[in-house]
Amino acid sequence: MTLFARSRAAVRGGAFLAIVGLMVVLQRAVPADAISEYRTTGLALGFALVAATLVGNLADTFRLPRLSGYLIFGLACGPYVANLLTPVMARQLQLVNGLAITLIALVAGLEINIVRMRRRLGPMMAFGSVTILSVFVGLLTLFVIAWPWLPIAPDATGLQRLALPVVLTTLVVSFSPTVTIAVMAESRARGPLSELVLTVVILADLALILFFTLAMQFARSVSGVVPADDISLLTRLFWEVAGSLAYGTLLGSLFALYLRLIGREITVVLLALCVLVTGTSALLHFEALLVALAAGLAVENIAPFQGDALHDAVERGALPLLVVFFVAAGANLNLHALAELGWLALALSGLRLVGLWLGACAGRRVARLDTSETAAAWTGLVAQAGVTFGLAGIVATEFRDWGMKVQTLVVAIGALNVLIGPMLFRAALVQAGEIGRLDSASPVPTESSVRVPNG
Amino acid sequence: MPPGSWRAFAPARHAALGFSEHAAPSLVFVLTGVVLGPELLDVLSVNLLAQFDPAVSVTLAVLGIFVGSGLSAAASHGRVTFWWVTGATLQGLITFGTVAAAMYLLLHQWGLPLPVDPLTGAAVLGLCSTVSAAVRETGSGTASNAARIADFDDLLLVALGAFAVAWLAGWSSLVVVVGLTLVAGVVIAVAGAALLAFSGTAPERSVFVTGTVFLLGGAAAYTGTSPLVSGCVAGLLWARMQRSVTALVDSDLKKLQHPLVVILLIIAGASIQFTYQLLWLAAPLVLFRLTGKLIGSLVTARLFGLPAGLLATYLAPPGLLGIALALNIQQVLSTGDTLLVSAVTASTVAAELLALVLVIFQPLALSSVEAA
Repeated sequence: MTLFARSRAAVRGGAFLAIVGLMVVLQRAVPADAISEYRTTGLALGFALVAATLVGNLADTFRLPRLSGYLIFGLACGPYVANLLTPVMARQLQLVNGLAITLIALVAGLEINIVRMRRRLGPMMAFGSVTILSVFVGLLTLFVIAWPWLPIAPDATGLQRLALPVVLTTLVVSFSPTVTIAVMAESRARGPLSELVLTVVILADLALILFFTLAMQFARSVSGVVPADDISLLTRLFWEVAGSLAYGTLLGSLFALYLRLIGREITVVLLALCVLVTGTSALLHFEALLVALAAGLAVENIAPFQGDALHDAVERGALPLLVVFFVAAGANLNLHALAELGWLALALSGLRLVGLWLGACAGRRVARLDTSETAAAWTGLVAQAGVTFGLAGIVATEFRDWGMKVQTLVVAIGALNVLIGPMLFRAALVQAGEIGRLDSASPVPTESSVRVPNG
Repeated sequence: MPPGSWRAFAPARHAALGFSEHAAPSLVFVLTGVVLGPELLDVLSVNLLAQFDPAVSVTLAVLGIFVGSGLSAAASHGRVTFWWVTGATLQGLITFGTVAAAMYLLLHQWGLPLPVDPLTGAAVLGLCSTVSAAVRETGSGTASNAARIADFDDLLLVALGAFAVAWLAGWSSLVVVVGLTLVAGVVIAVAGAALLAFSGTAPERSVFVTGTVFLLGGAAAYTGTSPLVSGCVAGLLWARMQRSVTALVDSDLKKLQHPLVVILLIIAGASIQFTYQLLWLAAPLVLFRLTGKLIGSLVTARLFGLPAGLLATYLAPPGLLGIALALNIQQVLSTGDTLLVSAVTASTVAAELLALVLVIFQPLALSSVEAA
């Protein structure tokens, strides 16, 4: 270790302790529950940004993803452990979640060049479809068989005995495109593995919307909540998916036009675009992730922006949002759920991992993507986060009796997966030699590294 | 009037309406806020505005940093700075006294329904009126001295504002809580500077600067004091540290400053509630502020040997700090009644328009007097 590195480590350690000490003193002087919600937000954001970045740097020295550092920091300082980030602060940090998800999806869209990927798109989609279906069918079979022993609704009979496992399977299988894309963005990764995983997680997100809507409709119909209405269901799905893509393309085209004609204050306009996407998507019942992805795709594929200004703006805007997003995820991880269902969650999480690995093996064989770089593609599908927890929340709200139990179990499984997912995926990216390739001048590996089936 | 004398008025004219190269066009953004706010389109609803509270605190901290660093930079002039600060404080106190006394008489007589008692309300309005727009005027001539006096009146607002905010937040031991904010400012500033000195990449540096500013604003908001104080302390310290650290902070802060000031002005515009009371409060406020500034200019100009008319043109444009402090006070009052912040914002815009008229016609008047 050089003198500079040693000095830097000492200074960073000192600064970290000073800021943590300040938080303790402030909370002793003014109890957090004695003041209004919004007065805590600035302090929580500042603490998360500075201290979590330092923990992320520490994680990097241990060859772990920085994101895991942010998550662990959130978990350690959150309400369930040190309580430096009180429950109110943890909730306040989630204010940036929508913005972070939008920006991350926009970044993903900006990385996808359809012309460049056109020839590999077929095999990638085949791989994704087979993998997702394999895991889904495998876990559904398991849940149907093991249902009487699961602590959800063991007495369920008839069609309910099938509908409830379908809902649970959809949630357990679900992935976190946000976390996976964030790992790639943070690692500046590019290459066949990154491109394959990026395509699959986006496909998985679309599939998840479809599966979840169908599963919920099935559960509603067998529970007698709302009669199944195929037309409204299809219309809603079409509106959500096609509408999101169209709306995103429109916004992306306008942004591309702004970049071309004005091209100033790009960071501010980019963040404003993210705010617009987040705010209006909820109002219009669109999927914000898809809208942002389509916007990014439009910018990259319709009117690509020359120069470094957009890249710099994205980098400048993305890092603070990523830090806060993952700290919030860590601070809001429900450790009570994990403590309550620890062993079961661990077992199911393990089974999910095995399912993903087997599914990916089958997928690679079907799609004939049998290169060494893509062997670890399943690791990009391990992480679960906001989307999974959000959908579990919907289930809990709609079906209060068994839905709450599903939510507890899914949150416990998700808590494990969000911790191990980024670590596994980053290790795979390191193994594939794709870390930092986005910054290097080397051309993107294309046909040579991903074998395309003939005909 | 000798050729080129017009230049002496140029900075003051640019400062009016905030259309200078260093400030946001405040009128435009305040009006944008009015249009988007609950009174018109309701895009920025009351609930949404509450979520922007941290942005107000952070903007105040950033403005405080610039006040602190400006003071630190000027301190290199030693004794001269002391006189500038004295002059600025004197004219600020005169304005404060004039506006507060006059407004108290009116509020007491009219019995307007304010969210605070008339004496406090008058004091808040007086304090928010003390500040003048910052002017970039270099050199050592008469105009430069007048500009410095306009620049340093921020200090009075920062110092008195700290105690006013803590008092309105309900603190009994004001010195302790302001002291705690000062200590927090020092700790955060030192930690932030140390991190910046050893930061790696530009995005990482940007995160540290953003995080430090959020901490400065957040710590003050958490303790219920003014983020202007913690920011000012940090600005003072950073300006005296290594030149490399100062330059890094400065460049990253400038990128933050513009969007934050825009947000602040939009929030201020959206917070305006159009009522008859607003008209009755804002109109006299503009008049009393102008009166206070003119009296302040007369007294200060006589003491410092400056042309009173020239000094008045520099002191007339009100700047943004008054609006920022009013929003800060609105935060700690935690009430839906925004009459105070509405009055300060509306009067600031009106005063800027008035200042524009003054700085356009004042040189013409001077030249006609000289010609005669």
